[in-house]
Amino acid sequence: MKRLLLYLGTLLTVFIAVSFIATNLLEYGLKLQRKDSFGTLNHLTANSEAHDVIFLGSSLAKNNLDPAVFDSITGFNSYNFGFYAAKIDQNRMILERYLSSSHPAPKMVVLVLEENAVDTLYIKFPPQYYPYREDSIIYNYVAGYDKGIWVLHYAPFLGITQYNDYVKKLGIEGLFSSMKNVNNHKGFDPLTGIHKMTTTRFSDKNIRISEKGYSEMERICVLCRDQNIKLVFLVPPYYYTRKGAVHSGFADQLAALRDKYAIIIMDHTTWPQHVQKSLFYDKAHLNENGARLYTIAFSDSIRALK
Amino acid sequence: MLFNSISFLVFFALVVPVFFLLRGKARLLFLLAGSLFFYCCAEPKYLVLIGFSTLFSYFAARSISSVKEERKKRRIMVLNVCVALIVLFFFKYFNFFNDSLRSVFTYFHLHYPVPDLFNLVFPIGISFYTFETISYVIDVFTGVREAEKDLAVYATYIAFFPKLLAGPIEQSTNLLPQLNTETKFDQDRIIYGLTRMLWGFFKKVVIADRLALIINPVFDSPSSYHPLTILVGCYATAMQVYCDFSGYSDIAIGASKVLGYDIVENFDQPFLSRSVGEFWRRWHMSLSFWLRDYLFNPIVYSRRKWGKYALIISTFITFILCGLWHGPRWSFVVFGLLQGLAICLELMLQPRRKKWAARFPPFFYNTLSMFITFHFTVFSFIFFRAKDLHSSLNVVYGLFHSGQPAGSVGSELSGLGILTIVISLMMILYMFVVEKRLSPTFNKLRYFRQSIVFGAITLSLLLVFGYFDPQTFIYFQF
Amino acid sequence: MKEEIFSQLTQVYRDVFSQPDLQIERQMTAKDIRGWDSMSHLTLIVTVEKVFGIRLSGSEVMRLKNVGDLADIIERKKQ
Repeated sequence: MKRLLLYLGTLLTVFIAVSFIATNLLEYGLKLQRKDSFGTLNHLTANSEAHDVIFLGSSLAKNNLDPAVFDSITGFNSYNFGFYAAKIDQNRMILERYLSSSHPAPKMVVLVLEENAVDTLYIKFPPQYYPYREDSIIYNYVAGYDKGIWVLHYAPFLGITQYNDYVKKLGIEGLFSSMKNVNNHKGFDPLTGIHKMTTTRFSDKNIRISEKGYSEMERICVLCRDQNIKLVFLVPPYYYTRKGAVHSGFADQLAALRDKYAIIIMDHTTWPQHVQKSLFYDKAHLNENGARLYTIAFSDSIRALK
Repeated sequence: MLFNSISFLVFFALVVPVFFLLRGKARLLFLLAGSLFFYCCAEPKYLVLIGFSTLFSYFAARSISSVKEERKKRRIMVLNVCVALIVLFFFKYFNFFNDSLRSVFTYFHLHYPVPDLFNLVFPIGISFYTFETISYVIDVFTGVREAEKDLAVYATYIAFFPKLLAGPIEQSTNLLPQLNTETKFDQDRIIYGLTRMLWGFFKKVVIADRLALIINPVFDSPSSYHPLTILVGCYATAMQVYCDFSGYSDIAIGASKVLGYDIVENFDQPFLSRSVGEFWRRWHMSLSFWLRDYLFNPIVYSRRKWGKYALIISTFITFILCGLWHGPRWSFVVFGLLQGLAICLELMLQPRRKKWAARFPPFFYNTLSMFITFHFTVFSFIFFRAKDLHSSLNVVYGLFHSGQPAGSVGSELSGLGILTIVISLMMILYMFVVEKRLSPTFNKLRYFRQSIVFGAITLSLLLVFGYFDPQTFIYFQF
Repeated sequence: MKEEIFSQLTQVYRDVFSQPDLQIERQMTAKDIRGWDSMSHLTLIVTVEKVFGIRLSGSEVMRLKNVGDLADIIERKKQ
């Protein structure tokens, strides 16, 4: 029995030690990363810089709104807190986390909306939040969907088995290349390429979004009202899509929120340029050129509010 | 439940201590229940199927041993084999033959009325346990062994979880008798088993899954790659398939050892074979020996007056069916045909090969044989790995027709790809160093120290270089 | 009788596997003799049948596990 116990003990020790070192190195690198979702989360959790305007949303925020262009027109200091595949409760969590820091609250929050990001809620890739598990707001949000972060909370050395190659690549990049001079576009991620598809049309059913999604939207409204933040709901342009703004059921729900919390709704689905194939990456995402042109138009409409 | 999953590790960690705490019949029943639970995690509704196969073959064997008349014995044996094959055919090949027949009919503009059975989910492990029941019944018929009296023992033999889903295919004379005796707790054997399992995980998670990253894109669209890139992909495929399946077998064998059972070895460094015939004695041995004993030999001995032609015909039948065993695809048939052709060629050239062997220095002759055999294997694996005949032919075409400029190889395999290849090559080297030393030596203490060191290094490499997106084992589809 | 069969069998093995100084033992299996594969096994069986003037059935051949089994069955058939 002695040899077996010694064997098991040694392997367990090696497992914990190697995993612990590798996990810590990797997470250290990820926290130095300035690109991708880790870059944005690092900026958020550093509490270092106050912004006048923050953008929330999914890829429709991340790829479509360029803070540099926005700042040059409006004179604000903005940041793009869009995340790929983010849902409405993630947007709420990010806002809550941003407001929890000691620096002054933003003047304005722009929430980029898409129906399916409000309707069904889940986390597409939980490990992107694992390095930030010590942050209670982030932890509570992720723990609602994913057991992995709970496991890592109690056994942090298991991290290395949770990260895939893509995360490892970003971590190694953070560790070994100088990240200081990397232009992270203030969270904006420009896409290159031109839309190849033909016209796409959405069905125009009377869709209402789920109760859960609606209550998350309402929580965002309350957060902004309590801190006197101007809240803008923005529906970004779609390539050659239906003429209406959003599905009528959803539009009714938005109108109800608008009336209750004095929110500004900007429906840019049919932005005059939305028929220009050359400005789109795919049917819902603008490419770099399109994002620049659209951000100009968007900035103008924000400026017009003042 | 995949071997490379957290749930399997938990399952195994719970089963082993309880197994050793129980005694006698309770232990056996626990092992059976555990195995059935293991199968349920993969495919609960086909528990009925495995239950049917087990009961049918059990009672067939019992009645073979109870009837006296040779003719009746034969009739029961044939009936059992036929039913087993029909079940296998129905669940695995029905749609395939149906589709093939339909395309023949449509080619001649004829109406073909039989529809596909769309909802037929492939019952995982069926190819493996069907072969085991067949071999058992034939063994009882030929008198190689007695019919097993205890249904629980027999059911455990069929459902034994380490080998249930993807082999090794046990013949009745090895594992079955072991289940009749109680295994003792032996710490050195457990250490060996655990090291062997770790080794299997390493081959799967570090080598095979990493190589898959560069192979998949090349096999998906060969026309957009340079021939050299495709060549790299082909070599990588051979290594991937080997590491994937031998890794699986290592885990299966290791897990059995921990429980105290010796199941058959499945691989013996097959890429060092000096002929295709030898390759099949070192690659997926449990399948080739099964095919040899229950298909090849019976054909050969019933037709032995035909001499060499008996061998040739038998070889072709065996290898075409061997190809088809891997799955209902024409590319597997081509794979089998290629192997059959190569072995027949070797058979024809045998006298001449003896002369050549005498003429050249042994080292040169052996290395050359190894080189040729290896490259033939790599080539035939294109048909093994591609998803259908058409795409495997595309890969072969791509090997000889440059679609991309010559300078593009580096960029096609850029960054992670090259890193993957380098890491995998290092690992394969490490593998060949370790694989030879893995088996226990007479000196227990020395072996124990070796296991600890190997275990620790392998575990560390596994953690640092492992590919942790779950990938299933290739042999699960067979 | 037994020894006679065994020495005759040794000669058969030497011829079939073209190894003039091959020594066979009862417990030897295919693993122990170089070149003993399914192909040469057929030659072996056919030669044994010719040399000893016997006939082996398919299932008898299947039951053979080592050299000893072969020697035993030859002895039984010769009687």
